[in-house]
Amino acid sequence: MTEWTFRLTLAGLDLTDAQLNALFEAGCDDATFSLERDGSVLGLFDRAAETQEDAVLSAIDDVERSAGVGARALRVAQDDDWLTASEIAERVGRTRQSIGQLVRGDRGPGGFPAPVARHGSPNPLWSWAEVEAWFQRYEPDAVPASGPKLSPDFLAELNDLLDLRERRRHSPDAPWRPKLAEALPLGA
Amino acid sequence: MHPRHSKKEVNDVLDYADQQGFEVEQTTAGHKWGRIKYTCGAFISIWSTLKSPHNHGRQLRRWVDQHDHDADEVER
Repeated sequence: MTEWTFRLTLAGLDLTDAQLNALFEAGCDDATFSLERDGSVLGLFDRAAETQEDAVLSAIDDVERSAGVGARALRVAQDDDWLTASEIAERVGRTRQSIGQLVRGDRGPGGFPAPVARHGSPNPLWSWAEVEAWFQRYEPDAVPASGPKLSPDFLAELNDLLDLRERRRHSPDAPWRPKLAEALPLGA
Repeated sequence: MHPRHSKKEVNDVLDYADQQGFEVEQTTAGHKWGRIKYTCGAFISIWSTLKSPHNHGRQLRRWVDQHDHDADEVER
């Protein structure tokens, strides 16, 4: 069994005690739940499963079948670390200065990811997922071994399906649907 | 000083959150131990019954870090 780390964005929940206990009993004892400033709810999972599909789909199933909760999964994302340039330097075995040069494009191929937080401060933060992907392309030897990751294609397809499900839920009788299904059949 | 959680790996993160200015609240109800609350109204729920104290601690820590960064952005 492998442990997969990811986060679900959830709708239909406000994390009352009753909801939390129902989620726990339904098998989400490997997740931590938060309510964000914008009202969205996150489930942060570390789920043991043979495959990424088993991990993510069983988590969605556990959440959505929790008794009396009525939650829906809206989105799945790989969980991510936010790092300073010094922490990035440590992970890829470079100096802080050389990371600065890559960021500014003074050296290397350019196109280094933009920071995700503390923009314009002396110590901005980067998404490790984005930085790691950049190194993977230009300097794969620098990328340290890490735990298993959800494949970006899997995530993209799953999130497209979740979007579609949500859209159909909001407008179940959209008049264009039969025509769309005929013109662009899924699986064609 | 915040209320103590019986699992060290979780309690260590509560210490850290406390130092960073987050509020740690114990309101036990079933499997729930309490919450870490942030000034903007966001919170993360803490379990009392734990499958993996290590993973739960890591999930809490990551959340605290990412919300601490929000604070930096608001201050500027």
